[in-house]
Amino acid sequence: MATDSSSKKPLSFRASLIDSPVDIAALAAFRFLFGLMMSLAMVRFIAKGWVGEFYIQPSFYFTYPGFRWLHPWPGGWMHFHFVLLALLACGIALGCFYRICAVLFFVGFTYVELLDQTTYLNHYYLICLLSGLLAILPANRAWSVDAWRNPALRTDTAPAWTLNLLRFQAGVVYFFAGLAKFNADWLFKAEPLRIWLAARSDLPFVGPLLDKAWVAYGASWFGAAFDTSIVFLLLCPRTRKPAYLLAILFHVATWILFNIGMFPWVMLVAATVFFSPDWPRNLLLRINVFFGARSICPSFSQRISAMARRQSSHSASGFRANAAVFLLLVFYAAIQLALPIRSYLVSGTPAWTCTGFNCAWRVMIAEKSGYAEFYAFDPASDRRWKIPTEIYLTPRQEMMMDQDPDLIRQMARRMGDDLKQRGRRAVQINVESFATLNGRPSQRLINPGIDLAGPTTPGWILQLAY
Amino acid sequence: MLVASARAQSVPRKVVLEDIAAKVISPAYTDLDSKCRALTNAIGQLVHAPNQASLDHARQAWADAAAAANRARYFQAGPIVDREYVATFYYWKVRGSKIDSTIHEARAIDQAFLNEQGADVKGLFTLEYLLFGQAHQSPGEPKPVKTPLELLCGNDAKPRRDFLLLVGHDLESKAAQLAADWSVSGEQGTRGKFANGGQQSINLLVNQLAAAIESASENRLHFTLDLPKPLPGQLYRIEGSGSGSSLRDLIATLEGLQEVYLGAGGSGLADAVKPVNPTLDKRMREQFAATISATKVIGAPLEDAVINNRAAIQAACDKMKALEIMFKVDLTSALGVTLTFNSTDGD
Repeated sequence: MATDSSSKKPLSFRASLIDSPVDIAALAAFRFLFGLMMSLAMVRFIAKGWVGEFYIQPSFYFTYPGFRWLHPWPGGWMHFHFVLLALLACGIALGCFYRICAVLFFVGFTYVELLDQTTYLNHYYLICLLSGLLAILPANRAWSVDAWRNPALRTDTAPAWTLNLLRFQAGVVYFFAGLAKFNADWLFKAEPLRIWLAARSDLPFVGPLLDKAWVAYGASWFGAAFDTSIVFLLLCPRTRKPAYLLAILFHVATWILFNIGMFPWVMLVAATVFFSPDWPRNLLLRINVFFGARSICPSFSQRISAMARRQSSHSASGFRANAAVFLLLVFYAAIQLALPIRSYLVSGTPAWTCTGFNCAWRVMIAEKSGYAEFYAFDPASDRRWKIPTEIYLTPRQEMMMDQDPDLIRQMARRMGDDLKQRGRRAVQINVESFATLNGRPSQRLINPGIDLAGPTTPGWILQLAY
Repeated sequence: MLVASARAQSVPRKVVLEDIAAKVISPAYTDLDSKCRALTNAIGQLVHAPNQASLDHARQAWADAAAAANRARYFQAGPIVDREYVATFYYWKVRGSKIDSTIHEARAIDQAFLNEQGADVKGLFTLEYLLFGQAHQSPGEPKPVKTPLELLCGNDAKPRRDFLLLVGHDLESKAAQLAADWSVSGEQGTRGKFANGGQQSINLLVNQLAAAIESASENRLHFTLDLPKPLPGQLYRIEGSGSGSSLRDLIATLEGLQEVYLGAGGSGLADAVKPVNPTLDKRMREQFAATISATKVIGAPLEDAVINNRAAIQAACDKMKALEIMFKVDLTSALGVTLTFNSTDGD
């Protein structure tokens, strides 16, 4: 338990987790690493051509409820948007006009993520959350351009809630990602890892092992154990170093084996918040000792030591949590817990129905492939015809839609609207939809007899039969 | 049995790809090459002595070449695409009137002349027109006055005969080139690159197979069933209707697909599926057999069956659709194609 430096008496729960001052260095380091990583991620996004593929080429977007009014910027302005996001991320990293940069990055990135449901990824959602949190945290009050330009801003400490909020967020991701793996497919069929690892059996050295069943089982059980326990291992000082080493091995392995882009790096940066709050100072001191022995930077250790000595003399009174902030934190935490828990309360299998699947940290637990054909049926003429999806969707959008009943329904409604606009008001839209989950035989995903362009009917999503 | 099963489960995917390249794809192009050579020889005999016997011989050679082309139809990637030969073997919407006018207007019928022509006046299906004529006409189109044999006889038919032989030689040289491309062994050859492509080659192959089965289902069976009435005026729109080979070619396509899955004297895709999902492998085998069987039950060219036996076409169509779904959903998932084919990130 943390102690107050003046009284040495044990602190209350609130004091230790919320109000007590902690070294701001970890927060500043997180800001720097997150900003740096995001600027690289935005450049990577542009370089891969995804801006055009995701936000310019499609003629139809799968919007989120309540956000239908959102549209991509016209023409090449989406490219400009991503360039701006990269610059804003640089601003976050450097702590230069930090607050503006963090708020704009959060708004700008969340806007992008809300444009099309087919681009949803858990780590994009995490980036939205982390950038939103950074926008309210005093991460620019040390080791930043802002603090350099405005000495009054400088502080060596921050209230504990600032770091604990990030710890909570990263902890929720790991823990619920682990909890989601405690299911029969993962533990007793080693799916989907059995399929995914076999698909990587062409890798040099380890490849020949990857199509072995025992490797898939071992990886499944290790993955579940890792995700559920890593937070506790990182929090415990005695196990922290080996745990982080394990985390590096785990995330690098997932990066090599699967197309999960920035996710491993986001998590490795996020995991640094579990370190001791002064870890960046200690690291810099060690680096300095290393180089100091060679007289490269003799004055550096003095500066670092002085900063460390000042640590307890500065307070972060401006960010002490008052009742309103405390309530907001509790509210945020409640939402972050409720969202993943909801997937255990819905009927059916979330990976099959996609109900309660997103925003629930159900990471890498489903190998799902789908197929959907849309048919218009005109009862007046008893005529049925196929509606091509190519005129609406890019191949990537179609692949994502084929797995998700809600997206299929959204597509059907758009088709129905288009037919109505052409005077065919009574036409129904049916879908022949099949999907497979974690190696099961393909089965119908949606009741083919239901008019998907009409009002929502109970039972329109068929439950996973076996 | 157990030994065989254990051996099947231990086949690495690289070996599967090597076997498919060396024992399925390469022999398919070698077969196409030999059938096209036989076709050119038969055309040479026909051009030299145009009579019913030489015409029948050339027609049979054409049907064999068409079947060979259809057996290799599942893989429209690699050299056939790089060399822009796809249309030569598979573009079937040639126009008889345009071929006739091209022959009549030609200043000199030689390779340079042929190279200038578009896909609708050369290739395998131009030969079909020249050898079989037009069995079915579009609405309003007059029936041809002369038979294909009459058109090839007499001194004034020399340009037609020359053109026929030229197109035959062109086809033969292209088939020989493809066979040569696929027969080269070694790391840098087509086979080597394909086998060493690892999961990327699996992705390519599965997507090619899925596209082929979709094309067979949509463009042949569904298309035939959905033809507007009156049917006689629409039958010319069925692929292979000119030669009466529509059903035979469709079966050849399916058998070619099945060979990639099962393998031919070596491992096939089934050997990659079996270790991860033996149930799916069994279902795939059964569905292939059921689809080919249902297609054979049609029993007559599609242009005849669509009038006399629609139920059989519908039954084959249903089986083929089920096979298409298994390819696009179950197989792509089981082989990790959905994971690795997507160029974007996932999590």
